[in-house]
Amino acid sequence: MILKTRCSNARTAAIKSVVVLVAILSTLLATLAPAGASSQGCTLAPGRIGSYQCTTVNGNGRYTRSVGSTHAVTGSNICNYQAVWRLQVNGRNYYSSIRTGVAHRCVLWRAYHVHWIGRDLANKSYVWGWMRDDQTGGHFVGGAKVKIKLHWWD
Amino acid sequence: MFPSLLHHRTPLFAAFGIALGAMLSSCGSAGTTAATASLPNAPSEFESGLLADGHVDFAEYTQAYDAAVSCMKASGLDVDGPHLDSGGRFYNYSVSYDVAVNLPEDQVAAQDTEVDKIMVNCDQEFLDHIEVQWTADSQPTSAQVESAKDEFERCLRQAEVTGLVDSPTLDELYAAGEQNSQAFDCTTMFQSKTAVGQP
Repeated sequence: MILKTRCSNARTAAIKSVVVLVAILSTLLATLAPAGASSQGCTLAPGRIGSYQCTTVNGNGRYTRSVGSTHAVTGSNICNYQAVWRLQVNGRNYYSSIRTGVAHRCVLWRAYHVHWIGRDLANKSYVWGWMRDDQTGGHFVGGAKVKIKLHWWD
Repeated sequence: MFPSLLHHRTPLFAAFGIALGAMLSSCGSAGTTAATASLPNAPSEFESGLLADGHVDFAEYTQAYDAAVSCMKASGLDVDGPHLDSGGRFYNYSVSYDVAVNLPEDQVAAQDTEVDKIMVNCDQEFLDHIEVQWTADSQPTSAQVESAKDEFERCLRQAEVTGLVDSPTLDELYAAGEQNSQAFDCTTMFQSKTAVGQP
């Protein structure tokens, strides 16, 4: 009985040591991990050759500075462009829908829209982005999705 | 993220110049009527007041933008803005609202449409014609576009982007502008300074 208890205590101590070691390693990995919130996803925009839409998340770790959308149409001007995003914070049962105003002007080849976030977002949160302009017939195109990841395994 | 789609520098900048020139020639000589002719609706009474002398200056553009955003806020929208862009020429704003994750798509679309309608109404009442006219009145010359491109490149190098070659193409500049947040501000600055009116 005593032996068993000692054995049990030793096992418990070993498990605790492993748990502590894992916790330390996780903390180290989290600290050493690259900027989790800075990432980009792109998708081809349908109907136009050389056209694509990208969603960008700018930030560091969980801190998210801004979300952005890029609409590229090679060799062409882009007029009256507008962006929308869906921001799904992990663990919430609603998402934020964000719409920019229409930019009543033309830019060459690429159009950008940015929305300021300026706060921490939960790990594994998602941002989807779409854009439209005169050439998309009023339809939002793209739908590029970016996941905020603090670790490579998320 | 995406590979550079264009590779030949000189023809590209020539194309950029030709396209810009075409837009400048089609808009530069146009008066107030031509500049705003692409809009489907006539100017509102508010807009007509600001357009009375045929031109829009930055103070008038600011006044119109503030009025449009105030209109949206008064209609109950959660508006972030107006914010002046890094080029100091255009304002922007965005509207946010919450949507339940399990809401059926038709109800999501109805909510989007309702928000869009308020935004469009406020834009049409206070901003559309003013922004179009402001864009035409503040249109850059070809020399100013070239200067903005040089400034774009300098800004990117100060943002410590990597892999930017000498005499980069516009596509290469745009690609470098996606490397970090500071570089992205360089891109929005360039876009602000070189945006033109409707062709």
